[in-house]
Amino acid sequence: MDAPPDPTSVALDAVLSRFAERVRYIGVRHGLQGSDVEDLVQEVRLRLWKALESGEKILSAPASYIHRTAVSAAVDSLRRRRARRETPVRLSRPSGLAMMGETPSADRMVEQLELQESIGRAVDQLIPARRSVVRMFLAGYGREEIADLLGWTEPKTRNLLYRGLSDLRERLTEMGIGPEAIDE
Amino acid sequence: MSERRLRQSYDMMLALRAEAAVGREGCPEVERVLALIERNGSEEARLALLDHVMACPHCHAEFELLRAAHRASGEHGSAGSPSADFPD
Repeated sequence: MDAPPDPTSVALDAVLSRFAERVRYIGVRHGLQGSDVEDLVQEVRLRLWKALESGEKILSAPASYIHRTAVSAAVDSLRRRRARRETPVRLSRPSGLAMMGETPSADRMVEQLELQESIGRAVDQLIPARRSVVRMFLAGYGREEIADLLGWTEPKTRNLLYRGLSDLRERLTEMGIGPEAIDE
Repeated sequence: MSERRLRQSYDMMLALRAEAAVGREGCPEVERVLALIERNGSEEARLALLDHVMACPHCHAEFELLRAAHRASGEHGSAGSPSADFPD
């Protein structure tokens, strides 16, 4: 017969299940690796257990306490990694070369690399407010996420993004990169 | 060029940069990355920081971990002053 579950573990599971689910959803969506997400969840669990000890206290912890614990766990974990020069957190991006498709020809590969570098240079030339927004957009963030991070309204974000992308296309055209050269 | 194609090419460029990235000289401290997420500091400073973070594979990954922790726990409720019954 199984032993009854430890009340502290039950309380920790109850408090952390929603948090863990949200961290996984938010983090993995933008390429955070599963192991880094799990490490963070375990660190938060350990901190709550050490600080609060009893199931009752854990269950009655205010949301602000969980928030502060989670953020400080993430900050401390990153500080430790930097100080020890441990493996940095990495986003799971497929290899740049592997993403080019199946065995491209050498010419095609060079062409693609040049295109990528040109896009990088063109983004670098944008004015700061538009550049940051365009970088976020190209990295896969939606307008709502950009507006939320910068504390901007949706129309302001949309306007800067629209203008930034327009500037980017202009720069690329000046570099000799038109739509027909790329959308093959 | 379509937005999808732009994003794809930009992502490939970041992937190649990530593979080549080594040092952290010039990277902001972790606390500054957190300040960006918490919207602390002037808009000009935050935009400059965001520009670095989005172009640096190390900082971008750290930004995502902090953002995930911040948003996931923030959605439990507002981050007001914690009760005195709970330790720091």
